[in-house]
Parts: sequence; C-alpha cells; structure tokens
Amino acid sequence: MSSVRIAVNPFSRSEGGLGVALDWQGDGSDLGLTQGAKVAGMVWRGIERIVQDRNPLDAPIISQRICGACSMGHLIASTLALENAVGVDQNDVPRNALLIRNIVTGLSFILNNLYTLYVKTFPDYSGILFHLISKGSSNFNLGLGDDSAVYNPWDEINPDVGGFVYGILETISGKTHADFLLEVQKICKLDPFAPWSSYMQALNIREKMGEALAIFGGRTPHSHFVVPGGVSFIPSITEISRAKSLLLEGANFLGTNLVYDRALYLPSGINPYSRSRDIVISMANKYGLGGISGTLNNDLKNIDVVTDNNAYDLIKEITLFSLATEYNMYDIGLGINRYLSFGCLADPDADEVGDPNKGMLHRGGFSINGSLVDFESSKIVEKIESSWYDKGEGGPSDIASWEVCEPQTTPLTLWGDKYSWIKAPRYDSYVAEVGSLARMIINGWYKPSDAFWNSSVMDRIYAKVLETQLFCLLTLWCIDELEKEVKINGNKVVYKQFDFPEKGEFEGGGLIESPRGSLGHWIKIKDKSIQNYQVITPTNWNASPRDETGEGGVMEQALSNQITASNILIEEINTNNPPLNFPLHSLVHLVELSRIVRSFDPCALCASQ
Amino acid sequence: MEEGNEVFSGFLLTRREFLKLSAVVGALVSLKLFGKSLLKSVDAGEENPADMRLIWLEGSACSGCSLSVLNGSLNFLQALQRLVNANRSVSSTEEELEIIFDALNFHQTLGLKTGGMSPSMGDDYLFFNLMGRLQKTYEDWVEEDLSPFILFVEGSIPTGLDGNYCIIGEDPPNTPKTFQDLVLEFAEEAAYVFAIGTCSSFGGVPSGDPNPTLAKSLDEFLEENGINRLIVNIPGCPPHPNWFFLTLTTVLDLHYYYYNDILSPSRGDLRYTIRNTNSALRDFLDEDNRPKFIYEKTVHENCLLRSSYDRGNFAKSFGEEELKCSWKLGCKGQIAFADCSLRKWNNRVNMCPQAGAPCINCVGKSFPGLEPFFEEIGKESPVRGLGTVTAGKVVGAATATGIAAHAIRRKKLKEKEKKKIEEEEFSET
Repeated sequence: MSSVRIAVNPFSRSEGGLGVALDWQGDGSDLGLTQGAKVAGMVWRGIERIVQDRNPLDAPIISQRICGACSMGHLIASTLALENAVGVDQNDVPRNALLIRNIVTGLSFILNNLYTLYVKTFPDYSGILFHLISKGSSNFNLGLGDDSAVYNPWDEINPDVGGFVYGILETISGKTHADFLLEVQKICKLDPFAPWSSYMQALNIREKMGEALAIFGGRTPHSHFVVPGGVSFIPSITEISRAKSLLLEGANFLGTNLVYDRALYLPSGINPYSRSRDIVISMANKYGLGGISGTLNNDLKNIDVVTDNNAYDLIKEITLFSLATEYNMYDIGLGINRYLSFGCLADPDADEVGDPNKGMLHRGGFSINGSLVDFESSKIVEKIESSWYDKGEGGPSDIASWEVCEPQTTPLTLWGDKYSWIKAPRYDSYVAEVGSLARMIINGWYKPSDAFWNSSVMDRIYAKVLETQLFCLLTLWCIDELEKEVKINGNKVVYKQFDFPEKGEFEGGGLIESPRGSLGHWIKIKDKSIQNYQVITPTNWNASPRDETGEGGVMEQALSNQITASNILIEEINTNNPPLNFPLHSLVHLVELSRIVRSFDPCALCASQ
Repeated sequence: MEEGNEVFSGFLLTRREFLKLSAVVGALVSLKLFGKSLLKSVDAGEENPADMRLIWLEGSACSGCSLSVLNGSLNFLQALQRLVNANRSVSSTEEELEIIFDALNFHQTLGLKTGGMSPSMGDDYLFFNLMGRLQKTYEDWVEEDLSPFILFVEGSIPTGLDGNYCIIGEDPPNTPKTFQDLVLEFAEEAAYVFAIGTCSSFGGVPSGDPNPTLAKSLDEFLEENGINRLIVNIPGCPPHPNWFFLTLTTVLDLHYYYYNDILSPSRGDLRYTIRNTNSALRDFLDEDNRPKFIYEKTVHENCLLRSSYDRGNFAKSFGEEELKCSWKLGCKGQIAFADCSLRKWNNRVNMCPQAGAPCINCVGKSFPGLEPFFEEIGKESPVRGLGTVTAGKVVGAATATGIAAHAIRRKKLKEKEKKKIEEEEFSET
C-alpha cells in the first residue's frame, strides 16, 4: 500500500460533530511521512439563517442555543453586538450590570473548565481503564479472561485508550497481565492514581458553580437575563453572599485538587498584565487562597521560586502534571506561535470600558512569536474554500458585503477538497490559536516551554488549570465590587433603557471571550429586523479547515506534527520488543491523537452553527 | 470514600434507598400506585433488575440537554445504577464507576470510549468507529437476544440533503452515515424510547423558520418512516435534570412491577413486560406524550409573581427595583406547560421570571415560534410572514386563557381595582 488514512469519526468526548482524518504515505516497513491531517465539522443547523427576519432582541436567545456549554458566552456576545449596532457606549452601561455580566462570565468559565478537564480530558490520562480491563468487565471484550483462546487482534478489538495495546502485546510476546500494566504505562503514559477520585467531587463543584450562576440568571444552561442596556436581575445582599460562598468552595477545590497548596505555579520569566495582576494579589491575600507560588506576597519577583528543584519535586509527587515533563507531554501536539484573544471581563473602571486592548480585566490582543500587538476586529475574515458552502465569505470590516451563509446543494464527499461544515477564519491572513493558553500568553501569565512559543498539549491543559484559578480570583473581585455598590452605596441600578429605532439600518459586532476561546457575533439590522447574522466561534478558529493557500487550522497542524512524535514512541517500543506492524502501531497514534484533539477543547457543533 | 476494611460509602444506593430518593425528588406517581408491591419484592430479595443498558444519541443538538442532565449528576449516575445489578456491593470508586460506565453503554459526550477499529474497512483505511462499537452490540441484541436497551434521543433529526446535515461516522469508507439512518436502526428495537429536549420532542430551534435543514422531531420522523411506537417526550430547552430522572424512574418502576409482581401477567417474561410497560405508560402521558406529572400545569399557575399579576402591577421595563410580573415584557408563562415555578432550577435556587427574565416557553411545541420573545402575548404586532389575522389565531388561545383567568379573578377584586385593570388592559387589545 502506498497511502493510508486513519480516521476517527465521530470524536467522542467533544461536543459532538467532530471528525478527524490523518493521511500518510508509506507502508509498515518504514514509519512513513504524514501528508497531513484534516479536521472536519459534521453537523450544520443553520442558526445564522434561523435568526434572519426576526426581531433583533430575539437574537441573543436563539444564538445562545448554538451551544449548551458556551451558552452564557453567546448570550453576552450577541447582546454586545446589539448594543454596538445601536450605538450604546459600554461606558454608559450601569456599573452593576457590567459587574454582574463579569460574574456570570467568570462562573461559566469555571463551570466549563471543570467539565472539560474532568469529564473530557482526564480520562485519556487515567488508569481507570486498566482497572476495568484487568477485571474482565463485559464491556471490554478482549478475551483475556479465557485462557484457552488464542487472541487475534483483528477480531473484536475494543481499543479504548490503553486496552488495545494490552491486547496487542499479549499476542506478540505472551507476557502476563502484570507485565503489561508496566509496559503499557510506559507506552501510553498513564497514571493509575490520576484524578478519578476527584471526578465525583469535580462534578459536584461544577453543580455549585451552576447554582451560583443561576442565582443571577435564573437557571443554567440557557439563561436569558442579559439584555441590551444591562441585565434584568436586581441583586440583593443575601443572594450576593450566597454566590460568593459557593465560589469560594470552588476556589478551594481547585486549589487542593489540581495544583499543590492552592498556588498558581507559574513558569519563570512571565510578566502579567498589570490590571489583573493587582487584582489577583489583593484577592489572594484577602481570601487566603495561597497567592502566587505558595507565598502571600506582593512582589512577583519570587515567581522564580518555581524553577527551584524543591518546588518541582513537590508538584511531581502529587499532581497529574508530574508526568508531563517526564514523558515529553510538552513535545507533542505542537501548534503554532500565533495566539488571539478578544478580551473578556469588562473593566468597569477603565476609560474605555469594553475596549479589547485597554478596557478589560483579561485583555485581548494578538501574540505573534512572543510579541504582543493590539487586537483590531477589522482584520478578521472568514473563508469557505474547503467548506461545504456556496456562499458565506466575508468579514467584519464590511459586514454589508459579508455573504449570507448558503450551504452547497450538491452531494457531499468526505475528506475531499471541501470537507467540513466549519468555515475558515483568519486574522490578518494568519492562522491563529484561541483558548485558555492564548489568553494566558497574551495576558502575560504563561509562557510555553517551546523556545519558539509554539504550544503543546501540556501547555494547553496546564494553562487551562491556571486560568480557572485565575478566574476564581477575578470573579471574586467582581462580586466584592458588586457587594460594595449594593451594601455601601445602596446602588441597585442594573439597567438603562436605550432606544431601539423602528426604522433605519444598523450594523454592529460583539466580541468576547468564552471558555473555549474567542467568540464573535455580528449583526446587520434593517427596520428592526435582522438582515444578516454572522457568528465565529472559538472552535471555528481552532478546527478551521484549509484556506486558499492550503494552510490548515491549528488542530490540523498540531496533528500533522503529532505523527512524528508518535513515531519516536514506536521506535522505542520496537527497540525492545518484536516490531509492531503497521495497523497495530497506528493504534498508538490513536492515544496521542485523542490527547491532542481534546487539549484544544473542541466544540464542533458551535463551530459549524 | 474509604477502601479496605472500613464500610465503603460511595454514592450508589440500595434499592430501598433509591425508592426513597425518588419520593424526595418528587415522583410520587408511580410510588403511589406500585409502592407497596415494589417494596415487598425488594424486601423478599426477589427482584431481578433485568439488566438494561442506556444509549444516548445526539443529533442536530447543542448538548444543552446532556449538560443540564449532568447538573443533576448524582441522580444521573444513580439512575444508571438502577439499570444494572443494583444491589451489588462495592468497595471502591473504581468499582462504582465500573457499574456506571457499564450501564451507560453509549454517550458521545460523556462516555469514555474513543473508538473501535473496523478491520472490514481494509488495509489502507483504518477507521476508528465509535458507532461501530455500538452497532456490533446492536446486532448482538437482535440476534443473540441480549439485554434490552433504553434509547434517549437528543436533538432534532435533519432530513434535508439526504440527512447529510448531520453525519455520524462513515459506512462504508468515505460515505457519510447520517443521523437519520442511525435513529431508524435503533428506535425500532429499543425497549423504551425517550425524546429528551424540545429539539427531539417538537423540533426546537433547528426547525425554526425557515428550517434550513428540514429538521424534524423524533415523533414526526419515525412516523414518516413507518415506525409507530411510543415515544416519551421530555421537552425543555434545556430540560430540568429532575424531569429526566423522574421520567426514567417512572418507566423503570413500571418495568419492575410488570416483571416482578406476583399478580402481573408478564411476570418473568421480558418482552411481554416491555410491551405492558409501554401501554401502561400511556396513562402517565398527555396527548403530546409528555409526562403529565411534570407538564400539566403552566409556569403561570404557581409563579411567585402572581400577586403582582393579579393586582395589575406589571413591570414596564427591565431592572425596576421591585420585582414585578413581566407579562408586559413578553412573559409566555401563561402558555408554557412546565413545573418550573414549583421545582425551580439548579438546586431550587431560582427560575427565569424570578430573575427578571420573562419566560420564553422553551418547552413549547412552537418554540422558538414566530412571535418576538420580548413582546406581550396577544399584542397585535406584525408576526413575521403572517398577516395579523392568522397571527391572532396563533396567539388567540393564549389571549383567551389570559382573559378567562382574568375574568375569574375580577369577581374577587374590589370595585376600584377592577376598574383600573379594565382601563389598562382592554384599552390596548
């Protein structure tokens, strides 16, 4: 055979609708070179079409149903788009409303990140499956319990993470089960004691964050209490205190279960954005949350203590991340070095509230090769060369000319030239990565371990953990400020009425960060009816297909790089054992492929709307 | 959670504790009818839980239903426990989780599996087919008569472009396998089928005008394809986790009754039990196949802002300091059939109108409907695509309800207030 495709479709533990295909040339005797990876969205609902011709105030409620996980993000982005369209200055939105919007944003980040980390990402690193396999559970029908059977890997294989290699090695070398646990651990880098014990607690804490969110929003998911001009919820002191105590529970859980001693263990040489740095230090001190690097201090020079061997040894013993450095997790799934963020958590004290570069607590920007430039929304374009559309190109620089989305009417082919329901957004003609890592880099809280600022699997996961802790502190500040306003100033104003003209044409955009990355909604209104509505979601950026130059999105590039990394692993196995043949060593790739794809936290349903 | 010699207190319950839990959460219905016999069979140790599996398929959806169900995570996992050997004793978290993930045979978002290799695809196409694992088991069920499965369908089923608006896997290589094909395969053979969420119950947001993907509700789709069987609808955008839990436990209680009770005609016969349960279920469902004990009353009936509605004290804009009825802001609570006002959301902490957000009737058959969300029911505003007369007919029922309810209340109010309300309301209609 001269060329092979490995496909995983659909991808489990992502928000549905994601398919991945790796192509490579070569046969079993050499490890081959990858031709490339394709990441595709498999579901299209047409939400951009469904909101057309409706009353503009309906847009937040309907576009919220693009995704149940990022529901609050869509609501706020859509509301900001409406406000922007009719000329509402964010400086005029009542302070309480800005704070409440920030609080629910922060809570939704924590909620989502817990879900992503525990339910979606950590199972790929955990030993629970070994336990299930070794007990011969009926779901894992490997025939290992039956001594007489000769196990043929081409029959019923259930290659859940770990299981397949288990079966393969037995066939090759006839070793015992105990031997395998050790071998497989080496190959698959799994830790039998990784976070399963906190799985249930994490779900419980997630519910508590949901409860805090529902105090403001009525319910979660899909609350619609944010309206153009403010919010509809009138805060009372008891409700604010209850929300705060729930949030502190969450902060405590994160500080004791994901990192050591409630500290933010940060890489050396970082330089955080001053606005958030000041807040983080004051909140950490006030609530005894460990602060930075396990010490309560205002002087960030002590961050270098993290590179001290003692600190690293402590981390190694206790957390998941102990395995990362040892097993090259910082080397796989290498992305690119261009990161994008629209900014989130509007700074109510700024001169230009809501400005992505100057008016946010967690600022926006574009980082290229490690240097940061201001974000400009006019540089975004969206292309459809590799997507199943006849129309739908354009960009916010001229929303009037942004084509209304039309899917193709000819039959679809999989993995051809046009292969995805997801469109391809580009920033200033660059491919960009969005997500927790991008935000942390842009805000100066994180530095990738790669010298050229390329991201890796572990960078993305660790940045997400750190960001969740960071958001606990930023949200705490917002709740404190709200409490001050209500208790001390007796100010309960949360809404300001703005006129929505019956006649006229208006255009606007709402750009915000949602848990998975940068989210933008653009709206064009004519005579109080929606003429055009465009959405670019975070996974649109990450899972973007190829553009006209043939360059794929970040996920596609990371997957292409991955094949090389897996090949190194396979070489290791082959050195000490009889060589794995081609289809079998592709299963090793499945483990790495799963980890890489899920490190981006994809939500392909969102991306294709 | 301790391991070893100490008593292990995980989160799984004994059968008796579970029945008590159902009562606490609120499903008194099945307990009232079958409570005594259920307890008797538990005490006698007779009960055979009739090993079942749960399959959850997701189509043209937003995952909101799964995530909402996960908000009641403990209940969700305990319900799963009931599907398999419920009285097994466990001594570690791993064993608990093993039981759970054994029962949850398939869930695209929450399940553990990544994929099963399909060797039939050939040497140059290595396809890791998540659905392949599912289908192998499905064939087992049909041919080898293995344990029955319960099917939950989330999301609407798009039928346009040959169903290619929702592709789930490939079979054969490079040929899209569509969600509609998948649903047709499983819906017929499942023991019990639930349509969870407004999208699969009634069409939901993807079927909103102009319905670009020709999305259909589960009922409609199966009927069009000649499959006529009972579908239990649990609408809501998203549905409350308790609604999922209570509906599932009601069905399981019926199932256990018909399988175990000494007077049951289908005692010990699985297929007959399933048939009896499905027909007995119809008594619990209304004409839209929704469980009556959840969807019988409207949000309006028990809304805590009723006193403000009765006095005609309506909110004129958002953010008014005193929390008032949001009818004038577009609240559709009068036509929204759900028990949100009683049950409340997220650990009973709040519900939409209580946070100042008018009810949008997300459980409704017409959701997202044609009316603007933030305009008053019955107001004569031009509805997209329809003339005002037709629009009036669409919302007429709601107006009639509103006026009728108003008429009853008016008798009890004093003369002065009566006049004030009349002037305010009927001058606008």
